[in-house]
Amino acid sequence: MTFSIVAHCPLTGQLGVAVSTAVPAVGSICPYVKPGVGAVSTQAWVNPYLAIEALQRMERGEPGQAALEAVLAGDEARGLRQIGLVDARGRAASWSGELCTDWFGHLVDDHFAVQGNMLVSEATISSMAAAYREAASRDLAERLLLAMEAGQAAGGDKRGRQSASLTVYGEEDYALLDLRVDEHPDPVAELRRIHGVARLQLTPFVAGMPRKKGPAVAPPAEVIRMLLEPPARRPGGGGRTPEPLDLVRDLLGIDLPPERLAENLAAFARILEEIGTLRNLDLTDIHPSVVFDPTAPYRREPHA
Amino acid sequence: MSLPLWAQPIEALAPRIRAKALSPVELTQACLDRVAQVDDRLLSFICLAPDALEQARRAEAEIARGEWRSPLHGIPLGIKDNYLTADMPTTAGTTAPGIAFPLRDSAAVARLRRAGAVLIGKTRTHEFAWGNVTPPVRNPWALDRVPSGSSGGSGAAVAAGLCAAAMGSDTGGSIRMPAAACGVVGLKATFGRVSRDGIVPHSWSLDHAGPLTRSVADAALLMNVLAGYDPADPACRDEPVPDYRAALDQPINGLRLGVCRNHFFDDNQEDVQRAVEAALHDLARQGATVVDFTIPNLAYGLAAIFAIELASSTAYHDVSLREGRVQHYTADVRQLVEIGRFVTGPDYLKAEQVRAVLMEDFRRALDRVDVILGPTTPITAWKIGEWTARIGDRDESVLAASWRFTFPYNLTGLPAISVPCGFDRHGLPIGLQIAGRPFDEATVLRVAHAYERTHEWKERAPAL
Repeated sequence: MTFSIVAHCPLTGQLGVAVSTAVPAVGSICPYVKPGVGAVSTQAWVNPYLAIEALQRMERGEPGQAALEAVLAGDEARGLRQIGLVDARGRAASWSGELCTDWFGHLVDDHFAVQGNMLVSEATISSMAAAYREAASRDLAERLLLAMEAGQAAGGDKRGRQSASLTVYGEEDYALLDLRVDEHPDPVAELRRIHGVARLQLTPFVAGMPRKKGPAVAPPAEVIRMLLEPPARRPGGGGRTPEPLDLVRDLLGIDLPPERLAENLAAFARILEEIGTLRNLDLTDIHPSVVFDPTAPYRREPHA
Repeated sequence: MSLPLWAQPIEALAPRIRAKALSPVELTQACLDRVAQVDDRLLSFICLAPDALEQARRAEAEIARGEWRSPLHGIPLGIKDNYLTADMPTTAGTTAPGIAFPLRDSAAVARLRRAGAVLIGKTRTHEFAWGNVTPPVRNPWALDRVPSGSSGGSGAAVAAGLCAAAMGSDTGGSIRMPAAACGVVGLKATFGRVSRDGIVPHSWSLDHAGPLTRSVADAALLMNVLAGYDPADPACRDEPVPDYRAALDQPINGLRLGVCRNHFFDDNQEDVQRAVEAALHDLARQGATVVDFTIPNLAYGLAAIFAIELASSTAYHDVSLREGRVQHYTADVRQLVEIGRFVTGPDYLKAEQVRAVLMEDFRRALDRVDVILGPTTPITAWKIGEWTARIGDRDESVLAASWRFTFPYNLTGLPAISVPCGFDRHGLPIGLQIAGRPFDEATVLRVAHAYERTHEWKERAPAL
């Protein structure tokens, strides 16, 4: 019912999960990340405790594969589960229970694992893996997104689309990025759009947040300035889409309440009928009666 | 002379003042008494000069010393309240807080003072000269009707004999419309003829200054004082100033009187149409030739003046708009100032192109004729509070109808006068408009005078 990728970035140490499914709010159900420990996606007929316990084991030093085997051993219904994980040293592992719905399967590589069930075909996870590998020079969030886009393009969940999420942790105990599309007709595309806005407006703010090692500081002044603006005026835009009346107000340069603006537009309608006759005239060859006169300031002599 | 002092034209008063047979103090007192008697009903003055009698005494003393200055010496005049004055506050008809005008004399007021006139007060204007009603002023011919506007205070005051003449300003007809509605003479001189320095701007390229008077000769007497170059008004032109009074009495035989048969004759109240046709007939009988023509491009005139007037006025009121002071303007003016923002830059310039076309069309017409005649307005004074007027078998918006014949001369800048030409079935005055070539006020005045002499309209006064 889901396709996901768990990954570790060998360059930055970041850990992340991206996942999409045809159930609402996948970001609240499947992904689990603990910075410096590991990243997990628990899916199919979800048992959250598999992810929670696997992270506890990895935190105690168990490698990813061992942690996965240990938690599955305690789950009688493991045939219904699918779980992919990666530890903080990049050791990935994945499990797809034999009772998952077709197509299901996984692909494990150094530093990442992709897995899915109830998919259109195997092409989803192989495309995800290929896209992830190909984007080795990009940051983790971008690589995860590219993998999800490739997976979606290759078919994705055979029931359709509904939600997606992208979670990335660095060294801090808070997420660098935790984006959710909880209910949307095209959740991966929407995740991409939100990431485009968050990258410009949220990432600089998170980058200025206090850190475990180091003094608590205020966000940079330019970030504060940006966030004091309404979203539509920030780089990347977003927020409420400006309505036509807002645009008219901007165009007019006077801030009138909508009802007053509507009254004025109605009053202007009759005048516009007249002015409309000008708009239809061909006056190309007519010099307007306004004539620029550079000598005007020199003529201001008192009359003799 | 049986007329009371306050009802007499300047041309009758001035020689007697000069001859010391009439005291400016007595004349000013007669006007002030008249104000006290009727202006609680007319509401034409917003402010009276506390020193009016002092000004009159000064004039009397000067004349007694042989220092007679001009035919306006000792003559009581009213000044529209959008002309700055050094001794009286200027409001431009607004009560919006945060708007104040300097205490200094506008160029026209300074000229009138130098000519020895007694400035007895400020006459009411429609707020910022934007409108044709001039509340709360009433029409002296029918107190339940508007004096028109925006120089409605001046029109009502002169018609009712509260002052011998008054100044007006005219952006789309604001001198001529109230002159027609109140049964007085109103002259909008050529753009650039009378300085507008110190007049609160409405639309820079449309605003004109001029007098409202009880006779054509009086208009000539005021023009002799008002006309002339002033570098303080960037639009003012350094053109020779003739003696307007001297040219008045020449006969008009041989003159070609143009009648633009479209636009000006399309939709007039029946009585207006009849009075104007009769006036044309009267003038033709004096040996003038009537020449009909058409200017089809007048169909675009309303669009052009809307675009120019709205855009200009909104530019002038820009700070008041941004700072929210317009919310204290009267509703009609506030809306006009706000909707000026809807006029685009290209609309404005196309309007200026149409204006150039119309200027050329009128020039061609004025190659063939000496003046152009027609009604000043298609309707006579309408009832206060009414927004439509009956024309034939339908109701038309007074806002659209009232300035239809006056605004072409604001667009073209040509001199235009309104002179009374009779009364309608309700006893309301009708105006005849006569326009001429640029800076040819003399011919305009001459034709107006020739018409005025053949009738006794100006002897009639409203019963108050």
